[in-house]
Amino acid sequence: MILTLLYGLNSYAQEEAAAANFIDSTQAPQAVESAYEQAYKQLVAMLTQKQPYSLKEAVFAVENAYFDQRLSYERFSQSLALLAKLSKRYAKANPVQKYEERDEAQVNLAGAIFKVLTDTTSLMDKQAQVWYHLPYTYDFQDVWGEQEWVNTFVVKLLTLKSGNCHSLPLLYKLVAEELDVPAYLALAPNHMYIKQRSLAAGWYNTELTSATFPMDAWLSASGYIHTDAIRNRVYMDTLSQAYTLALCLVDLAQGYAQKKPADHQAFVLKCLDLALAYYPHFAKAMVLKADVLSKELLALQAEYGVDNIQALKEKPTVKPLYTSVEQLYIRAYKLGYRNVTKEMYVRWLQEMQNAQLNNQKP
Amino acid sequence: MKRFSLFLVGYLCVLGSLFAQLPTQPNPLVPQVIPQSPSFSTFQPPSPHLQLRQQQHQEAMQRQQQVLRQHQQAIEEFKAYQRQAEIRKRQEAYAKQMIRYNLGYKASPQATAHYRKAFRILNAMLEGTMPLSLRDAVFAVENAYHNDTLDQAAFNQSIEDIASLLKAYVKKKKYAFTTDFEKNSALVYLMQNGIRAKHPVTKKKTTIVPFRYDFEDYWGREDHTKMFVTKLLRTGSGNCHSMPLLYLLVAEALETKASLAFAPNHSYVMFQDEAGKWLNYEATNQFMASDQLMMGSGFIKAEAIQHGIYMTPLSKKEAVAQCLVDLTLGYEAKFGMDDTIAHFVSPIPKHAPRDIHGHMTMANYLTALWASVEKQLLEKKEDYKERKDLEKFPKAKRALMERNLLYKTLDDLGHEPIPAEIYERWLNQIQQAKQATHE
Repeated sequence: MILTLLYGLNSYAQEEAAAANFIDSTQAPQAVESAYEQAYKQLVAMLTQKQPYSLKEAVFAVENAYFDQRLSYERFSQSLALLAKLSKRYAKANPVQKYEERDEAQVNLAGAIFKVLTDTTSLMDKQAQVWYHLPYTYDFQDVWGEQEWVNTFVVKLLTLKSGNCHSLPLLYKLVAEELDVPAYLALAPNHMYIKQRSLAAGWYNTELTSATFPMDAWLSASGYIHTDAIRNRVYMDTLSQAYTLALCLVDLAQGYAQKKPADHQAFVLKCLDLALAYYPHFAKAMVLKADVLSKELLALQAEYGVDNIQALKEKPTVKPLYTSVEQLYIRAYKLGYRNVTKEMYVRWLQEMQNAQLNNQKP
Repeated sequence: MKRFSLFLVGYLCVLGSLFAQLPTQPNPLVPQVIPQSPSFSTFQPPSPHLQLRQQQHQEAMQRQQQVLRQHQQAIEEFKAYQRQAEIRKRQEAYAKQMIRYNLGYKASPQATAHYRKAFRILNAMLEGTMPLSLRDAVFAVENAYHNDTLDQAAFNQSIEDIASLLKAYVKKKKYAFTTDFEKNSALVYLMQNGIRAKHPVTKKKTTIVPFRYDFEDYWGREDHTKMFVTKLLRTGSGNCHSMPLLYLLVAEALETKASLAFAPNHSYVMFQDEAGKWLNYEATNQFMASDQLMMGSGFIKAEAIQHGIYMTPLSKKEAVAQCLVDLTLGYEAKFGMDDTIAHFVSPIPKHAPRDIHGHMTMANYLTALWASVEKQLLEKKEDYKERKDLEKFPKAKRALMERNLLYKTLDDLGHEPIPAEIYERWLNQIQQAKQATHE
């Protein structure tokens, strides 16, 4: 790797270490309900435009709620600012070669963010000491946060330098927003990646999990994406600000469900309904909502003592609930929503990496 | 000084005397009035001598008047000529300065009359004043290129023949032939394998040989007729333009639903299976292609699918609107790029807003127009040296902005040119296939 020289950073490692300790021990933990309600209110304020849009605040609100409002926002923004600074310096030291379009500066920065996040960056401080900023890697241990929900968090990614397809693209977008570089989140089955546009290449995809730039046809063919899902903008479409906030709302709902699995689902449904109000074709939210409601159906099944859940359709009091669940699943399916198994998914990520390596061979 | 004033006084005197003399001169242009009526005081008849003199006098006067009239006419003609010369001179001077914001017409109205006739037919179909018929639309396009010399009845007959032979074939084989999917399946079979059946009217055994891809000049760059369905019917081989169209024309004759669809630089057929799922039929090498193959080989991005410009079944109206683009292609091959082309594609955005090819043709026209405007600016305007100077020429600036805006629209819709290396690879594949067929 080419040694990158970045002057003017004072003891980078110290700065990084200071910022990366997110839990503020001086804060008293709050009760789950109030912690989540606070985050919910903040997201609503952004969605209703009472508060300006800020993905940094939204993501922090979601993760802070899970940590019972004990995280330090100051340190969170510090570490993002540090990454932004590093990317800016990187762009200055290693500009993209042979790119002569009007958006050169922007492409330079986007390339720098990508490099800083996915590759080792070496830098030299004022005392001529060389430091290494290590890449953020993919955590194959717990790809979907099943063992520990925190594994999907940006704070976990920043602390342990390993994340998943949720935290990695979010971090990229957060750093991009710090630098005013347009970048959009885009969805695929059980997956999220970054879409950007440059004058020379048009729309292109940035995949942080495997550090590649896959093309659309490859994503759709190997990622089990139905053409209808593309047509209906369920997958492979850029998410607007409101959609991104709706995504955060769903994360919040999922966090709450993880925290209080036995609890009644009122808060979760509230989040999902609001997310669907702002992002009507958000198939994942539809399916999650249907999942929550079908739990209710299962409870009713036990209550009525029927063997077959379809028998509930005959009960006049349950019928509306039953059909609404059915409609949600059907709608999501028709839009092209699909779920992939974990084995398929991990294989897919590895294929992507291999494809990249094969392309690099002479 | 004194001498000068003396000279001035003398000069003024001369001038004064000149002015003084002017009114006394008779006006040569006003004829003298001679009293003609006889005197009422005496009733004696005029003497013959007097009569003769009067007659001579009258004749002389008439001749004189005639000469005067001729003279007058000559003066007026000369003045008119002078006026015209002045206008022409002024026009020429103006033209030297003026920037022309159009491309004009490259051919005489007589030469392009067939094209305008075809345009009227297609436009009438789009406006709804004529029934929508893809067959008539395709025929109009090809007939215009052939200067209105094609036989429409024969063309119709050959399409109907294929349809009725297919019907006879499936009847004999007792194949299911009621749903759209069954009819399309039979049609795919026909395109791929050919059939032999007894013609229901002529009662003659007729063979339809499978349609082949024509590897020679498959984009019709040397010979534009290579794009035509009439050429495919005549020779049995066609390209990615004529083969899907023939399929659709026969499907139209069979009254079954099938649609035209696009990929970059490519067109193919889409029809639905019994569950309503859209299938892709690649008419050139005759197989059913998956969406992913279409996306991958055509280098199609998600945006293009989202905006419905590629891989989306077209309605019949959209297919007819696309015929307008085909019409401009033939026109351009024959006469070159001019204002007619902008006129021909102008109805497309109204009737087929997601048709990318109409936008592309318009973008090509606006590019040619801007190139012409810029060339004129450089030649005629001294204060135009580079693009920066456009601020002084708002109309020219608008021409450039209009062009750029259309290119932006094209980019936003998801149209992107195929990268050169991908295109080359594709050409190589075709080359290999071509060699394989020759061996």
